[in-house]
Amino acid sequence: MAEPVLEAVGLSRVFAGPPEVHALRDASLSVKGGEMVAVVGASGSGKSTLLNILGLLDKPTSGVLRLGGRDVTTLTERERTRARARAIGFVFQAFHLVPHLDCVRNVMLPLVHQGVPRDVRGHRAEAALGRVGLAHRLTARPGTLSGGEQQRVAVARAIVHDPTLLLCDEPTGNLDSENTATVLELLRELATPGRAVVVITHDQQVRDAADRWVEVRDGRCGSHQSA
Amino acid sequence: MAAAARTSPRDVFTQAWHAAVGRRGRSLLTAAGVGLGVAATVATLAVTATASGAISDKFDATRATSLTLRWPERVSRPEPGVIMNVTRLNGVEAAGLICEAARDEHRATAVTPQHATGVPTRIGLLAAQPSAFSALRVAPVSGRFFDDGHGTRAEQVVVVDTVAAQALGVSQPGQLIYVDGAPVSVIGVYEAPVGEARMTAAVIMPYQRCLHDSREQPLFGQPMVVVRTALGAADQVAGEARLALYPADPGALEALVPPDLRTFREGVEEDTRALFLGLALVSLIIGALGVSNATLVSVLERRPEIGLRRAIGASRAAVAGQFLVESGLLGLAGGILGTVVAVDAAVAVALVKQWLVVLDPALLGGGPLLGLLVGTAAGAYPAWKASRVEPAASLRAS
Ligand SMILES: Nc1ncnc2c1ncn2[C@@H]1O[C@H](COP(=O)(O)OP(=O)(O)OP(=O)(O)O)[C@@H](O)[C@H]1O
Ligand SMILES: [Mg+2]
Repeated sequence: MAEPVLEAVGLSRVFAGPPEVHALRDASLSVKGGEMVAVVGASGSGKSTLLNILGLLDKPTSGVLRLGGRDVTTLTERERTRARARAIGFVFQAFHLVPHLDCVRNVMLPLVHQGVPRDVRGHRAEAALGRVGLAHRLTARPGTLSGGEQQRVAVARAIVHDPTLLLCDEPTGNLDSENTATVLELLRELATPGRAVVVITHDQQVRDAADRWVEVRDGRCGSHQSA
Repeated sequence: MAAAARTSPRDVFTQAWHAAVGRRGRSLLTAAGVGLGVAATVATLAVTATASGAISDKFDATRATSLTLRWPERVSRPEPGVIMNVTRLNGVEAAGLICEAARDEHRATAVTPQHATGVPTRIGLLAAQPSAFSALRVAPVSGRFFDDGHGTRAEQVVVVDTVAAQALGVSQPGQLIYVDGAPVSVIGVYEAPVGEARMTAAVIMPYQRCLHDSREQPLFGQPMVVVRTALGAADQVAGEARLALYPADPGALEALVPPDLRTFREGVEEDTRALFLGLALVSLIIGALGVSNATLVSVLERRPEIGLRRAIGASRAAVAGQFLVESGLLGLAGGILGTVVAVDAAVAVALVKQWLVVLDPALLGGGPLLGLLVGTAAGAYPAWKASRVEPAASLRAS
């Protein structure tokens, strides 16, 4: 079996109020390379809070997080930014494409902010767009694309720097079932050996496509194998 | 991956450029705010520089070629022939003696009251040698000037300027007016040069009236020698003329500085200029506040973009840098725009006023630079705000 890409032990997150909110309590999760894991749970159960911590966008109040075997719980702000840039890709429900940049430039952004040499950026961005089936829309502005196309651009952006962990928060929340199927198929393909995919979802279709699913309830994780 | 793992300054600039160009309408409006401030500043500086250039040109030419020496008090008045000693000198183009009487409303009057135009004007009374007209650069517009013969024959003739002619009801040469109660014939009318106060609204009689002014209270003051010199010769001629006129005590001849038009006008101009610069500064500050506000709004609007950039590896400094450069670029664009507008305005004013356009190259570079500085300074706070955006909070589904 592959090494765990991600290992979280006893994560908790308390938002200092008032009122004080215990968004995560003692949540543990381990995801291996090649795995696609769905995270489900009621609204307000703490799914996004968990994903933000896994993605180094937020710090746990207590608990330990290891990425690729390395303890990242005590990293400084700057180190976390670098670790994020190197190892993690994000896909959001609202796409979050930069409206004044065309598709290639949007997909290039992770490379730009990591200081990847200019001459290789274009090729890699075009390759990533090709991977999601949008080789013909390189210079389109996001505003001119359909919702499904926009989310595929966002997926291309999330993988252009070849991260080991792909974190998706409701990636199909704004899509119809046809587009959902396309994006799901993509995410499945992207769970290659050496890369783990974690998808937050409310959607049965997504949950069924995952290798297994985890339910967050009151800030705690419970694991289930997919049928 | 063996990447530098940080955004290069060039990429920070490029991202700022794309944002500024990609949001063209908004950028233009923002830049226009700075542009107005810069335009006001540059136009004020350019127009005042052009105007004072025009005035000093005119003035320097007069100043460098004219000279007035006052005959000493208590020394008897010189005979007309004395002026030959000055005319002979190198660099002298014309010279003559003139005397000035205190201005008095009743000294020169129209023949009959109904001739006068009603506006009571204080007419000045002068006595002058014919050669003084040339020295003072005046020529008759109608009639003629008197000559030495009129003076030696003690004929009752005068010339008047256009202002005095109007006031005294003189419409053509040959008419009579009263000077000091006696009728005199106006044989010529001249136009006083601009800025020559002595010659404006004046009646001029032959110099001999001043020479033989033997009353208890003399009508005329001590004579003055007016000299027109070649360009730049005025200073040198001043020394030589004193010696030639009064060898016994050359220092007793006082050189009169011509009424300094420039200091007077510049005094006024300094005030106007300060006022306009003050207004320009205010509009510059308003422009800066405009950019600052627009950038701040744009930071709030673009929180998802900022959060995303932070999530995918942009440091706080890279985000701050992008907004700082963006605002600096808008300022620069405004600065260039404003300078172009201001230069056009200054040239238009100069054309209308027929001035030589004086454009300081420092101003041409300074306008855009000013815009850049204002824009960058105005972007400082919004840029700092942008660097504080928390990625997790800003990326929540909207
Ligand atoms: N920055 C914050 N400050 C205070 N409370 C917060 C903050 N972020 C989240 N919470 C709270 O933490 C709890 C968990 O929120 P979270 O966003 O993780 O829920 P979720 O499972 O993603 O819900 P949804 O399915 O609606 O997206 C909620 O009660 C929420 O109000
Ligand atoms: Mg959520």
